[in-house]
Amino acid sequence: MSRDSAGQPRIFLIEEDDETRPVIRQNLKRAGYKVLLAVDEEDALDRADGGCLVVDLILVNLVEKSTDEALRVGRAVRERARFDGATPLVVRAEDYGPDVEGTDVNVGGNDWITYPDDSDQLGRLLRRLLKGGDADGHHAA
Amino acid sequence: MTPNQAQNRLLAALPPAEYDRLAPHLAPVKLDLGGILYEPPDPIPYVYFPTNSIISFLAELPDGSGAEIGLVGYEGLAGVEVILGVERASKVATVQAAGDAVRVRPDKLRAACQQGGVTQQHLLRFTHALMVQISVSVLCVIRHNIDRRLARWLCMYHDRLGRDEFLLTHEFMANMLGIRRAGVSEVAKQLQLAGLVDYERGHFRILDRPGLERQACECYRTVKEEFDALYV
Repeated sequence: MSRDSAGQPRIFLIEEDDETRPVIRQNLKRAGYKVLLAVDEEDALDRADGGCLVVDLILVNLVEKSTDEALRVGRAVRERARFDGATPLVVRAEDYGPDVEGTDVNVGGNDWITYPDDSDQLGRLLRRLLKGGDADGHHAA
Repeated sequence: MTPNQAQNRLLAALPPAEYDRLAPHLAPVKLDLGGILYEPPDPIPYVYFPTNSIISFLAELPDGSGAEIGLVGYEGLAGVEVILGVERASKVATVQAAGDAVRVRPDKLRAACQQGGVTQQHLLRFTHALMVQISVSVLCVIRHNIDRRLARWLCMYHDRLGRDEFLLTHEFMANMLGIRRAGVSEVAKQLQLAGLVDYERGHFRILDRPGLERQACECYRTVKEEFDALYV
């Protein structure tokens, strides 16, 4: 795991919503994460260019886009940053019904879609994916 | 004072003689959660005076998206268009919290107003207060962050519900506030960490009402004072 000099895991947050972004960032920081921000796909890919992005997890939260589209963006960023597939990717769903509420669905490799039904479900998933001690998170090549 | 009057402040404010003119036309009704009472461009079938229910007013775009622009509980009524001489709904009225209300047909309410006295005056003053609420809501969306807006909305809801525990989903609150579900989840988390609310899987409990009010934007106090002044 990359962890910065203060021992904090690093999360790359791609959040398009200007209203939500500061609140999510604040909560992630309070939970002990270092947060790197991108405001949309283009911004995220720019930051991933050159292999200088060093993070332990990618969290994608897009506005009025499908979870498939959000997965595509997250995977594109991971590839551009030259992370290997083990770097966790979490997509937060927005539009969903009670049938999936409360679930975290693995969609292949270390890619996840979360359908929160309470305020700490995302936090629990992040803690699980970012447990220290092994090589779950990967540095850029 | 009849049970109807005692449970709705607007009806309770009417002098007995004027209330008695209206009373034969008031019918108790149960309002179900999510029920649409009226919507544009339809005529308003009844004017509703909530007693322990809450009615939301929604402004909607053609694509179905929208947000809450006002809400009313035991302090007022839904259907101010009728008081202003307009027959058709200008906004969607939907039941936000299930419970009881009394309702009256528009023509009967207009007739009661036309018989003189203070009924019309009371209703117009309430209409003014509701316009203040709607105006402030618009400004609030433009100027205030979602954390303060959600705190404000919870205070307004709590005022009208009269109890500390209730069921509210993130999706419902997101629809009311015109924000994304993720925003509601994250702000609710902050309120919970601050000890102001307890929230788990749709079950809300207000823990610190004064603290929640301090977290709310000044819009809450502005509108509350306007409504409180109606019944001084």
